[in-house]
Amino acid sequence: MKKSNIITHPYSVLISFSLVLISGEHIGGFYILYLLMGLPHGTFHSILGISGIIILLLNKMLNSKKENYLLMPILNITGSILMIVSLSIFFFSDEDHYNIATFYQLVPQIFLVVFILLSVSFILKNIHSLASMVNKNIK
Amino acid sequence: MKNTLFTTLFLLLFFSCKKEEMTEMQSSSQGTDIIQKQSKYLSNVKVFLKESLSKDDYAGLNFNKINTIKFDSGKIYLLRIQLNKAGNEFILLTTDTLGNCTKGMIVNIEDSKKQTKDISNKSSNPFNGNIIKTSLDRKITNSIKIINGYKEQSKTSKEDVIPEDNLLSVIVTAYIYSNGTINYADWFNLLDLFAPYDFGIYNYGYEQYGDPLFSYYTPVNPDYSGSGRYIPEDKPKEVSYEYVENRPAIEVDDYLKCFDNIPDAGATCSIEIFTDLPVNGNPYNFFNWENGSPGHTFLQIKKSNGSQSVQQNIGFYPDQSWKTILTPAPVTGKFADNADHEFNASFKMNLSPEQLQSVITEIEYLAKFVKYDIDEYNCTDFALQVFNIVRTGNALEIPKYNIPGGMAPFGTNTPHGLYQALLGKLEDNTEWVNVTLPGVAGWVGESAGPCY
Repeated sequence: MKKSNIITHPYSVLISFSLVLISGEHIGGFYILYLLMGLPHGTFHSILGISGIIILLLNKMLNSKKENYLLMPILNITGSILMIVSLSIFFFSDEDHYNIATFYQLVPQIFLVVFILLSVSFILKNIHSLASMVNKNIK
Repeated sequence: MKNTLFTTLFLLLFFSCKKEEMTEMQSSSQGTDIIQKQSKYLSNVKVFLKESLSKDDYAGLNFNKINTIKFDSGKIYLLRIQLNKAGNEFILLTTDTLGNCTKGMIVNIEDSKKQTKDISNKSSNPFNGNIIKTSLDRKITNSIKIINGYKEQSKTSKEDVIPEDNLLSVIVTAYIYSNGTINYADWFNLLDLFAPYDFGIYNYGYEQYGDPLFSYYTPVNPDYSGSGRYIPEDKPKEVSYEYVENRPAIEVDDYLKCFDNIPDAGATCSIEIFTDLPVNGNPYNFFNWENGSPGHTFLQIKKSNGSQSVQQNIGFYPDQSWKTILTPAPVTGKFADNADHEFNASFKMNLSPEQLQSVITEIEYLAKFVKYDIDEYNCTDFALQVFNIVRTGNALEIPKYNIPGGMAPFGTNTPHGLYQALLGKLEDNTEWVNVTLPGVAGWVGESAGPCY
């Protein structure tokens, strides 16, 4: 498998998203735990994050074999955006900025940067695939 | 050669004298210019004031006590003219460089307790009183009550407590002179009286919450020396508000040292334990599922003697909380200043100076080795241990709860458990008076900070 394929693979994005390391004032942990804990309570960031994960997983499992399937890159982009929005809401909708230490401590910073790089590469790759599919269909 | 040298020296001497003379001439003509400009400026102001003020107020203007406050590189002026009245009443006008006035008001700063500023502790004498803003015709009056330097707020909800402005309305600053003396001065916030765009400021609020990024302060009692000959200038002091994002660790010993500055004889001391629930208004939630916060428990220690007073708010935290996921073992802890921290309930105990000393000794002792463990030794455990050191035989006990992922066999002390216990204290015939429930939420005051 090529390096670029690993970087832009949906599982890489999923794993890096789940492993974003949160550092709160008293407790910390992987973001997936926060998503799972918040889900039964209907928290917005959990619903968005889990939806993003499900979309990427199902899309990979069901549609990866289909060639020139226009919906695949669209769903990949949607899933990634849902994940990014979930994280943004988690950090910034809380006016106490309870988990803001994540941005100030080296190890959580590294995990966050890895997710950002992987998700942005993934989105760009899917935009590129979408554009080439559209061009092919037009021709 | 000799002649050439002599001529050169002579010419140099001549031109240097000439230059000085010219500078003197220039400065004297500039001085005349400034005086002419200032008298034109003042005559324009006087015309405006004559039209706007009552006869009594106009007659009471003291043009020997005036100064300007300059904004936007001098393009916007505030002119302050003192009124010959008891107290500190003055006119504030926004003008341009020619003295054309656009807005004016009468301001009266009433210091309810004019007291000698205590040089050993600047936080012991915050400003209390009123800032009364009146229209020039005295028809519209707006009064701002100042308590401990801040505008008075109703304490019903967070929105009310910290509305659009959480900067001090009146601040006290100290100047240390080279001979070692210290002078304290009160400064008031001009943006309490004027809208920011009156000073050409359009980018004022913090983008996310709309809170101010800065304020402009000017002295309550300015230096008028020179008035009558020229108009003295005051540059407003810009105070920026820094949003504390990441709670820094403090040296707890330095914080506790401040209590040594107050003599024990006749001192009143207290310790208060505060609990901040994870979700305001929901005392049965032990965890905030939105942000993953379990709440917080912290201590406020106070010592007063006469006009001197020291208050410190101290809480216990993990140094890097992400480590709690990697190991069930305790992680390095840190102490932080919990000044202005939110709380939902508190319990206070008055102490003797000896008891206060044992509290200080206990904190200093714990600070040497204590480690943070979310389920075995967290902020609530620390605060309770210190609080109970002076409650021999009557320890404050709180219900324990099992927290997610917690491995403590008998449960964990939590801020919401403390809240339940404090609610229970309300049934106690003797101690209920020491319990404070501030409605939805309250905020503790300032900390004195470190003493070296």
